[in-house]
Amino acid sequence: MTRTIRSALFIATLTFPGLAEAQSIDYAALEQLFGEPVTNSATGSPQRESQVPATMIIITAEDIRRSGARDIPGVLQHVVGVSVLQTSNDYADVSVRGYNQAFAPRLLVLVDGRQVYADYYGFTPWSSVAVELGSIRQIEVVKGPNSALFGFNAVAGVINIITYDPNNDDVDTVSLSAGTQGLVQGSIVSTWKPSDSIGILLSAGHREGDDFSSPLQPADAGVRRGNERNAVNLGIEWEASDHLQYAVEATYSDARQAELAPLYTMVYNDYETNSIKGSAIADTQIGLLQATVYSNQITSRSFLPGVSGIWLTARNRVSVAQLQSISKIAKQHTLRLSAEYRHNTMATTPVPGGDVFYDVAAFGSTWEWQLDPSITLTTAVRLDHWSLGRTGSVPPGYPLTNEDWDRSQTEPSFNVGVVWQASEVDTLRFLAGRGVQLPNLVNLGGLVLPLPFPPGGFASGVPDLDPTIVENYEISWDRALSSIDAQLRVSAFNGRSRDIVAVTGGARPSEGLFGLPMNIGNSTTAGLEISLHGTLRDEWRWGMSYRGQEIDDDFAAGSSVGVTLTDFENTTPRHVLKANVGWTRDRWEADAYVRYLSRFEGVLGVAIGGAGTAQLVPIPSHAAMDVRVAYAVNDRIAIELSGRNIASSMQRQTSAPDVERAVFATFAMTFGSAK
Amino acid sequence: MYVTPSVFNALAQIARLVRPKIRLWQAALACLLVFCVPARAEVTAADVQVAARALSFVSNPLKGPVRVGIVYAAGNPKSVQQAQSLRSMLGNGLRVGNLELRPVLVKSTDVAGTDVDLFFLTEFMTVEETPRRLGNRTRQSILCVTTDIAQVRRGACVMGVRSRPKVEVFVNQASATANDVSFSTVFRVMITEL
Repeated sequence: MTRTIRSALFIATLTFPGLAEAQSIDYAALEQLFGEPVTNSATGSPQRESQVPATMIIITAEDIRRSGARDIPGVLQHVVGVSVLQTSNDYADVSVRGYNQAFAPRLLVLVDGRQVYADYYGFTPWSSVAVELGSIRQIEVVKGPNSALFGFNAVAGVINIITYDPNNDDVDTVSLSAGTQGLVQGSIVSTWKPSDSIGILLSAGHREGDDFSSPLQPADAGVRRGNERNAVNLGIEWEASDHLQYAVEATYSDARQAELAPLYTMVYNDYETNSIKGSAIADTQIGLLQATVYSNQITSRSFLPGVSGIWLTARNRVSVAQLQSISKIAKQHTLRLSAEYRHNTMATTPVPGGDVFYDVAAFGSTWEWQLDPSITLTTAVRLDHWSLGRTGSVPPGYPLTNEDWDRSQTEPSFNVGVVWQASEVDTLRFLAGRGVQLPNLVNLGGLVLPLPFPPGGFASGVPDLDPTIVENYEISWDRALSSIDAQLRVSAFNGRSRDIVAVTGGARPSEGLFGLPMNIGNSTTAGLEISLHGTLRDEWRWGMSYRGQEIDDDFAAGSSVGVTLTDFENTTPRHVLKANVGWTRDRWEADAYVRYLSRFEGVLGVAIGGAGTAQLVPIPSHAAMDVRVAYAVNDRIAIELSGRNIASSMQRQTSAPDVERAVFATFAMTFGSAK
Repeated sequence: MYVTPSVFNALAQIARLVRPKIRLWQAALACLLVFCVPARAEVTAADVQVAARALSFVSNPLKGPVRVGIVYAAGNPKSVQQAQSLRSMLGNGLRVGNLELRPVLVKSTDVAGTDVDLFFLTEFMTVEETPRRLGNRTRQSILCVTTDIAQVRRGACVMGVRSRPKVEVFVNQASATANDVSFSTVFRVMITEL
């Protein structure tokens, strides 16, 4: 991999002749210039938050600090339209605009453009993301499909976590927390510049504690084995000149905790991840050119308690090479061109000996046309050609051969957006998008599980699953209400998902295959989001939001065990209200966040080989509250008290064990030259 | 109450697209009669901040002490007043980022003989009063900044800035090229080129 990165950097340098003298992206400088956050997660080109052709929310470092959260899902659950299912003390599934499920697959998550979404099971193991909250400049939440920019799996939305830039930001913080459930947590974030042209960012964190003590299903007994997370991230940037920048980053994490698995039974998972990334950015006479290569590896060891009582080990590696150029080709026209190759492979489990993989070659373009100073049309298209394959051995009696995996397919994605700044205070967006979600590698054949009970055979993935296609149409209206120093946003959306994949439910008894994933049909949705937030007399900040959503599933019957475990119309709450209020005076700061979810249902699964069938269970309507109170001892030291789900000692929020109240104290200190 | 160019443009766009019988000048007249007030009267501190921040995206960006030549038309009281106001604002040197802006008043007829790092063109100058080329003894061309967007539009100045109602930066690309000034791609895709 190191050789690959060196080669890529060398090639990148060779292909950037005629360098103009200008800088690459400097978030801090652009934010200071325009007075608002800047992002490139909507189109690939840098844009002001107020002008992006997408329904986007940018969570700033200040928002993160005031959230009182101790992990990223804790920050996200305060955001309108973002659904967070807390299924254990240190595990949560996150989705955008409903369609949440165990191991939520529809939301693509990246850190500085590097995906941390785990393709082997199509989800994001948040605790294994090697980023500390203190190292985050902003979290960019893009709602709706965005495959035309990011590729497969950006169908419900994209979350791009942007960390500080050690060449332009000065951050030195340490924090220590302790609280209920035996929580002990510490993190350190530091930037330093050994020379004018080199910047280094180091972040590291440790967390340990217990899971909730709320009652478990009998089959889940033994799943609580202690939670722990360790993570480290090292990034180095070298500004070779005013117009050329190199960067390398390496991460490592090890996280283990109880969590709700795709079969809706509790498992204990131990994730070990590492990644390495290299990039070169050059500002040339033809535009901004960027080359990026990275490789992620994740190994998970899953303990399935109860009847199964087995450990499953999964190994997944994804290697990605990306090229892009951004050019202002005329006064009103900006063009972004991109090419990407990725190789994604997973060793079969629990029967080893095989590798299931796919290669993706993709080309895309984004064209931004400023029709008028107040109207911009953005069109993005992308073609992804993916080829599936399998190598290695198959176990005796397995009915499939490697040739069954020889297939390829080309999938288009698009995003079209019109942004009309109708007045000084009004912005209208008209958006349409098509995204593609690939079946995960487990479902494509990574799982090869001999069934130890009659009639025998295998629980397995299959190679003939189709991708899920998600379309979304949306209108949104932003209005600045200067009289009350507030911002209003209203969004109406309509979406359709075709060929949704259920993780189990299919069977081919004649071939001895059971518990197969399958495409089960379509689903449509329509919804409305309204949010209003503002400030009052500089001391107060407040916000409130409502999301109403209906989902209509049209799934084929056909489950051999009575339920496919996939149900969105009943498991998505129709009404979600969120509100927050915050106050700052002198050295004191206090924030409170409330969310209300109307009644919905959760899936209660059955362990492999267990008796009975999965079923839907009611999740009562409920309100949950998070709070934070902080006191700044001086300019460098703050003491905080935070509470999560403080409204009740134990609360049913999902079909997983009840969520407990958690309270913790934090000591935070800034050191070095930064304050 | 006043209406910004974006509103005017939106109205004009509607006029063009929805009511083709209404011409641009008619929309402008309606706008003037109903909403508009005269153009801005002074350069604000926020404008200066925006201008200084924008300078960091120029090739070979200026750093440290920067002599800002505030160009005014001696026979134009409004121009003189704005120049004096701007000089007061900058005082003995205003720090913005890694720049320290030091003002020097420059008559529009004296630009060629003035040694400064940057020109700031005051508003209200007529075409006749505006220098044709902003160069001096040491450099044939120097970057020019103004809050008078019309000057940018007609090529008298390379960059125009506005801080209200929202931050906007305008660059006359032809003028930039003629003055041998270039900007980073990131900056160019985020601003309005005229």
